Parts: sequence; structure tokens; C-alpha cells
Amino acid sequence: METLTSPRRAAYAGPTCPQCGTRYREPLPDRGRVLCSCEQRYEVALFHPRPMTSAPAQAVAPGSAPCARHAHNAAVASCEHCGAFMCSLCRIDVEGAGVCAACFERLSASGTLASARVGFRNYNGIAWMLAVVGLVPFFGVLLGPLAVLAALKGRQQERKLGESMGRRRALVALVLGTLEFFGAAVTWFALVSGAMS
Amino acid sequence: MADRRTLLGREFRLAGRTYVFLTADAVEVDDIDGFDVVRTRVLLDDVMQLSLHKRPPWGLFWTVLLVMTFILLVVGLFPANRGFVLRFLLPVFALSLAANVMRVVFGVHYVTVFGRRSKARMAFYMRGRKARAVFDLLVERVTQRQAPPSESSAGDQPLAVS
Repeated sequence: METLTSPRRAAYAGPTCPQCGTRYREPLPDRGRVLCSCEQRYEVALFHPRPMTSAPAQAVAPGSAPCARHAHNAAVASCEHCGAFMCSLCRIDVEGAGVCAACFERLSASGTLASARVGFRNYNGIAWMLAVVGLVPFFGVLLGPLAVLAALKGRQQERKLGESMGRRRALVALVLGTLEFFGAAVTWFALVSGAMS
Repeated sequence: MADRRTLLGREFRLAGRTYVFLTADAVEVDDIDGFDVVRTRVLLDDVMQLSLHKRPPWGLFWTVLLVMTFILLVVGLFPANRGFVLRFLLPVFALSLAANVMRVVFGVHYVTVFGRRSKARMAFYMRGRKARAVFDLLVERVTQRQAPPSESSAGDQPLAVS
């Protein structure tokens, strides 16, 4: 699975077999079935997206406002975050709003922009793992509170970033972690009391 | 707050698991490696290829068969375990083998999304109709998204200063 962190992610070079990765060199129809040399038969839908181009900036004319960063370009919008005028080169459309480059960097660095987020820690998954391992006898006295802490951290992440992955597991981990802690604490106490008496 | 998104499918591997979501303008892939989530977005505007294929999970089949055989041999070596093997292990392994054979017969359907520089894959075990529905949905959404803009749409107009 290729991700943004993988080195040398090659650009798409043409119709590719999804199983063996072999590029199909002969032209294919946009919709159809293909038999690859690896004996894999697959159905393919090809697309031809428009090349990525940015609209050329217009020169500032009398009566029009100039861009805040490019004094010779006419402003076509104002940033919906800071209000600065921006030309078509500066404008970045993200999540239905037009923002300037500086605001985009600031918002993506703070994690506010969901579409710019490239990674985060799965605290709900950590809470679940701690709660499950805490079921082992006597481990719960330590892992139970940790599971509760991780679940609360996940809840905080959900409120801040809107990431709700594993919410149900986190809730179960919260309850389980609490029970494990008290169960293990009572067991330890009973053992120690029994040994002392 | 994160955009509303629909879970399309997932794929589980030894190295981690992948969840694929569809949002209004992109296919989002959450690759979970341990406890870190790496998110990749393939914009619908940038989708180059969608593919659908089916493959029997022979790797999983042979792995499960070998593991079951090994456990049976090791446990069955001791005469004291014969009862346990006959009453418990054999029925469990028989069920597991039957499930394995069914997986091979029905196969695993894969839907793959190719972007300009990224790829997302979803696996559907014994759910061919769901895979077909997801494939058709993606084809429809990408086609709509990549449709040429109408000629009457105007470009950005300069802001007038009063």
C-alpha cells in the first residue's frame, strides 16, 4: 500500500494490472475486461482527468484591488480566514473555502484542516489494546488506568480533530479499564491481607 | 471537523490494515500501521483507473491448512490428548477447513483505485455484489467529477474597489 511517506512513489504510467502491477502497453478501451499475462482477468475503467493547471493571474487594472502578495496581480477573492486580498495564484480552495497560502500553512500545521491531515495517533486503538491485555490477571492494576487515559485522550482527539475512529472500542476500553483496575486492586489487597494474616 | 465520509471497504494484511472512505471530493485511505494512522487522499479529479477483479485466497488457504495440520500432529502425538483432539480440535478444524474452502470457492473481490501517485485497494471476502456496487459507485462519482465544465461558467473576476 503506497502512502505519502513511501519513498519514490512512481507516477501512474498507464493501465496497470491490479494484481501483478504490470503495465498494459496496448491501448485499452475506457471500459472493458482485460486478461493480464499473470492470468488475472479484471474489469477496468480508465479516466482521463484534465491536466493540473492554474488559472493565469490577471494584471491589476484601475478600479480593481491588488493582491496582498503580488502587487501587479488583480485580487479575485479575499481569504475567508484572514480577509487578505488574493489573486488566482494565491487562492487555495479547500473544504469549500478559499484561503491564502499563509493561512493554509497555518491551518494545516495546527491540524485544523481535515483534508490536509496526513497522519495521527490512534489513541482509541491503543486504549483497546491496553484494555484487552489488562484482562491478564494482575496486569489490570497498571494497564487499566492506562487504558482509561488513552480512551480519554482519544475522546479529546475526537473533539479537537473530529477523528472518531474506534469510538465504540474506546468506550468499551474505558469501562473495561475501570473494572480491571478495581478488580486487580481488590485482588492484590485480598492476597496481601491473606498473606499478612 | 472532518468531512462526512462513507466507508467503502477495507483490507487486512499482516503489516496492518487499510480502510477506504469516500468523501465529497476524494477517496480517503487510512493506513493503520500499529497505532499510527497515515491518511492519503486520492482526489476524484485525479483518479486514473478503477479496477475490479476476483482472486481465490490460496495463500491464506495453505497457511491455515499447514497451521492446522501442525497443531494436530503436535497435540495428537500424545495418547493422553486423543480425546481432546477427537472431541474438540477436529470439529473446530473441520469447520475452519470448510470456511477456508468456501473462501477459495467464492474468492476475494478486490476494488483498486489508481490515482496519479497513489493507490488504494479494498478486499471483499465472499461479497461479490458489494464489491460490484462499490466499483459502480466509484465509476459514477469519478465520471461526474471529471465531466468537462460547462462552457458558460465564467472564470475568476477581479474584485472591484469602490
